[in-house]
Amino acid sequence: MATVVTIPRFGNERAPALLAEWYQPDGASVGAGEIVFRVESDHIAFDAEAESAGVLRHRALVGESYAPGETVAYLLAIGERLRPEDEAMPAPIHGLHTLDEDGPIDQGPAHNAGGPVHGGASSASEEGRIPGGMIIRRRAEENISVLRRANGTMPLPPSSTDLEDVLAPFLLEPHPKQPPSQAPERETDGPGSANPAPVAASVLRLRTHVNLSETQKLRDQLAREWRVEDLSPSVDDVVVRAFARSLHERPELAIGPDFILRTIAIAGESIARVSNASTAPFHESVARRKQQHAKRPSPDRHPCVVSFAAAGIHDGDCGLSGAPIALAIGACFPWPTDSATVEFAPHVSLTLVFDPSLLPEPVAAGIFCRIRDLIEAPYALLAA
Amino acid sequence: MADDRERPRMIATNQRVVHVYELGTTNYEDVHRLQRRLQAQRRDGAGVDSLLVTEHRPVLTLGRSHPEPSLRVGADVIANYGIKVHQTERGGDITYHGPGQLVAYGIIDLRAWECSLMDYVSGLEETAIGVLGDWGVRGERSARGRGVWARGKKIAALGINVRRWVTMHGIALNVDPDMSHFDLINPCGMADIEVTSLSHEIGKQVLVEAVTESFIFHFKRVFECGAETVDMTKRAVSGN
Repeated sequence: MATVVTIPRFGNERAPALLAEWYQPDGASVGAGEIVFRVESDHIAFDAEAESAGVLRHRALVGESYAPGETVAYLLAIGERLRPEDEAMPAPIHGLHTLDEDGPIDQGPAHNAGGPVHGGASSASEEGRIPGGMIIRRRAEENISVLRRANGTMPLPPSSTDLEDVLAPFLLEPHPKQPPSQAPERETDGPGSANPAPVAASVLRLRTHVNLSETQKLRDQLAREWRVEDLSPSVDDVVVRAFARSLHERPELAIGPDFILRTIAIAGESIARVSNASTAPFHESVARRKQQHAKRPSPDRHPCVVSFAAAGIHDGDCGLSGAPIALAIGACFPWPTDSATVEFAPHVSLTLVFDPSLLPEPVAAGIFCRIRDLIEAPYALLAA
Repeated sequence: MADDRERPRMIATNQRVVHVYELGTTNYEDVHRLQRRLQAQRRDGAGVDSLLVTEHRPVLTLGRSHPEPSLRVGADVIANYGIKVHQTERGGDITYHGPGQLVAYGIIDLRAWECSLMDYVSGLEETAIGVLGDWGVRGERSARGRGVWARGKKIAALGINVRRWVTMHGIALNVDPDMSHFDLINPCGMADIEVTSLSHEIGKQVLVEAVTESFIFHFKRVFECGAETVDMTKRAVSGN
């Protein structure tokens, strides 16, 4: 009984593939596993093998495109003949493509070097254009690369029932809540005590990308440091570590990082809170640091504040809450969520709020740039 | 900013593991021979799924259907550069390989991975896009052809050969190669194509070693597979 030889299916698409070459002539005896023909599509060359031994009877033409599953040959037993209804050659795929006058041109004897990326229309020969060969013009498909999440939405921040409860364990001492736009009250025992008059906080913003592979290593390192099982430190924690490191590298400023105070920001009208469980160990860590510091008071050092905006809020903001410097973290792009979505590395938006009377802007900008560099290439954080 | 974001879902599968060979700088023909041997083993049900990562010494390779190189200069110029031209069994047209370019060849049994051929190719592109993202470069797919593009310029080219659903060849990502060598050819057979590199895009030197690490990370992420790095030094000493 004749064995049917068909065009392989490369994916879920019904995109046709070009029959590029017969390795065995019509009527040749082939063995099982011997390569019989090659089909090409999208920079893929597929060498198709005979599933069983037999006499090969071509039913398709080189240089033509055929749909997946289309019969292109039969393998017959010795002495077997094709049935009359199998004698007919299958129709190649024509006319599925649309010429694009501005599109690139491929030239070659018989090929389809690169069809559309995601199925749909295909390239096919233009009959009569070039005898013995063909010109293939590819048409730009519709917007196939979608730089957005599959559902096009960003997650909503969870509702907060009692923000104070969330904040309470991490507050060094109660601070009056102030909207970010208002001038903060500064501590009286710090460097700013010489100038008690309230000043407007200065704000710097930037967006930076997260180096996924390096960040993953850092997250693993944080997990080991914290020694908490089933822990998955977040990118936020990496950013906090970068913030701490950037301050630690500037001891002359006498700012943290012993006093990093992680708070939940109020960004616009959205109440953002860290909802993932992985933040709890960090909170505990902060609490421990706070207790340790209470035993060894260091009045010359001032707390800094780290706040978090909800994913999707591009410009997270925060108040100084009595600190000379504060950092707000917001997310622009989340991690990729599905393989069909073209994503590049997630970005975070950072907002640095500082008291210019305590920190000159060039100094604050230098700290900010250092944070950015550590996030983009966190080698220094890993080396610690 | 939540960290419990879902990873991209490929086709549900059993545990996938790829053995990673970091080969360093190699001659193309040596790695080509190795690929063919590994693919043959894998086709016969032996061997393991492998990922070969390397930089080649300067070479031009041709796709199976493009035996004539699409050059912008005469063949004598290519010869003067000391660049050899190799015919291969992969899809696609002409491409250049050279130092400063990360080349990754996957010898993967797609049936065992329960991964379609198109998913595999798209996954390679997504891997490169992830790598570029690590350096803040926005990589994209393009209707102009397979591969990865940055600001309309091609930054990664790919070409695959498949036999009995086992792949060979793969993807080449321009990290910091001698870009003048691309001027010798019409990359992918296209005369109007521009080529760029990661270093060019970010304006500073990038080491291939760092990109290799990033590539393996994103390969594991995209294909949801494990990776076991083969200690090449130990193999060389033991002679295995």
